[in-house]
Amino acid sequence: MLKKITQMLDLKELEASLDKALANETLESVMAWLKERDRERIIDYIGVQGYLHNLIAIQDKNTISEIAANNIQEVAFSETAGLPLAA
Amino acid sequence: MAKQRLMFHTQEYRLPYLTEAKRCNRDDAWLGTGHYFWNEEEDAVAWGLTSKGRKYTVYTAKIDCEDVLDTVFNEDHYKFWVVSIEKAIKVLSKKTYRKLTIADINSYFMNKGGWGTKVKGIMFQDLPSNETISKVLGFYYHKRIQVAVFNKEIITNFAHHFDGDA
Repeated sequence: MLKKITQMLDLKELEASLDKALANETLESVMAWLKERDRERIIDYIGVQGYLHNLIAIQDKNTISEIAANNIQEVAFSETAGLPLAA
Repeated sequence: MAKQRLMFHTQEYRLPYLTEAKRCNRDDAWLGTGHYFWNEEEDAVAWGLTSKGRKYTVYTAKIDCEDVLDTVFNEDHYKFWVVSIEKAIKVLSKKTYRKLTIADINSYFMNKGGWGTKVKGIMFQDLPSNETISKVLGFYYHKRIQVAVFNKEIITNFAHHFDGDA
């Protein structure tokens, strides 16, 4: 038999903070969040050293040499943030 | 204490044994980066057999669920979670024309939504896709329940439980 679990989270408080965040979103702020989310996910997955190594490797091969690091991430991984919505 | 659950953590067999739970960074982890625990030992074993290669280890730990959003057994929490996800999808997908993952949405809740300091974990259930797991045909009556822990302070008494072999 499962024990009854007492929950102490204040759902009203969580709802208020989420509603406030969503109400303040613009297209630009959401896109910036997605970009940061991609970066964090990649770093989580391959580690900071792996992430930097990849950027250096790309730059050394002169494939995307003039592009800033944050844009390389965007080029390489923007499609991983989610699938396009069906029409 | 009633708010604590004994839960199970599956990892590849490796010596020395872990002394703390390993954070999952897999890109396909349901709720994103976190420490994942199974509610039931048999699910921990099934995960070891299917995902961890020939030999695996199951650890146990006590999880303090006081600040865990329990979407499995707590109806209020479940309804709140569903409404929150749908609210976020409505705003975020409408602006970006992208279909987000549940890990993306959860990341939004924790970071921009202000839940990160309050919600220390989420208990959820997923749907297995492996027919051999179910003891009846075509219906998973047995909930496969996990908790994703985002704040490892709620994990205590982490210990080696047993080693398994496929």
